Amino acid sequence: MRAPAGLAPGLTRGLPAAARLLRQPGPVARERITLGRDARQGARSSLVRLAPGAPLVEAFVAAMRAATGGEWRPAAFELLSGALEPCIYCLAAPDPGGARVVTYTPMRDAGTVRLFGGAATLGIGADGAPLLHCHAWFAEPHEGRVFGGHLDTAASRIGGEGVRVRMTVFDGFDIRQLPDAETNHTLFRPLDRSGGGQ
Amino acid sequence: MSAEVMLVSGRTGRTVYARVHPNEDLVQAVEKICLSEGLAHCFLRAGLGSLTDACVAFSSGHIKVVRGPAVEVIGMSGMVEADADGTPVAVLHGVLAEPNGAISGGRFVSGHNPVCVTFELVLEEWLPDGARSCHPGETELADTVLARTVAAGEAQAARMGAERMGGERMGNWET
Repeated sequence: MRAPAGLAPGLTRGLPAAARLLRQPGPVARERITLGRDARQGARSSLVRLAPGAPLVEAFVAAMRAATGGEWRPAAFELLSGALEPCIYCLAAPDPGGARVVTYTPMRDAGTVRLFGGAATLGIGADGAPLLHCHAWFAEPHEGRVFGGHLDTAASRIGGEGVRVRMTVFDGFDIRQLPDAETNHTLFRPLDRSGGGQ
Repeated sequence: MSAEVMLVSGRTGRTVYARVHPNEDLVQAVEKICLSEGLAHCFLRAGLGSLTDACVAFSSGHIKVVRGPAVEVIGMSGMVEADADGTPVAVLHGVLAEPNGAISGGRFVSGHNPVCVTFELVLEEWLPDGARSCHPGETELADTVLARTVAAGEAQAARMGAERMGGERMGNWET
């Protein structure tokens, strides 16, 4: 078998013949990759230390507004280190009702965790309020076992030592959570700032 | 004996945010974005989303399929470098959470990581000034060192690149 691009020849042990593709519940959208472009060079990037206590979504909104002088802009975050207290998260699992390919598991409480990494996107939710989509990995407090998943960013809070993130603020487009017919989820997508697609 | 280092100075350029739709391959989606936007080199600044199944390679060469749906990507690192022909090649690593909560990770195998629901990516363009190879403390002009290195040590540069990337040669350093 020929090795795929990026793998040395011969390194194919365990490689399946093809990836499994699932049929989503809705019609397949024509667009397969939706881009938000920030044309200017050197986007607004900052290293931010988020102070303890606030729910994640509030802390990340405050960081964004500190960089923009109070204006709303979407932003992306690279989670660097810190602590969450509590850390409330879930995973993705098959949807027993069948309305979607997958749905979220019930939320679980990992307690006070040390954060190792992850990523987050700040946009406007379907209800018009700020929404933070965040995946992260972390160690639980007693034995250091590593867990991770999709965080409940309203229920999880910045822990005692704070959280360090690298923030990029976008000026060229908005990010909004919108109904997505293909997946039957409401999902973030980039839009141009007048409200149309990019 | 001082270790030879390969130093690439440069600056950051444009930033692109992307939402990748279901059944698109994660690695190839990054490369397609780079092709369509004309990004030869970039850093992955954020990556979060879900895969139907994940397929990752380990340092032994063993490849594992982590079964979903969905496998959540909970940590990610990577970059894109152009190969000798100028084609962007993405090398992406991830930390994975299975539906049962088990954690694993590895290098994403191109063509075998279909997006399940959605995947959000942030790519930051990297505009290298040029590659310089030197020994720390050497006073020789960097260009002279580079010329000597290219002539005599390309294998060394390739090996260093491979180590930095976790096992395999990728990209070209002479920009």
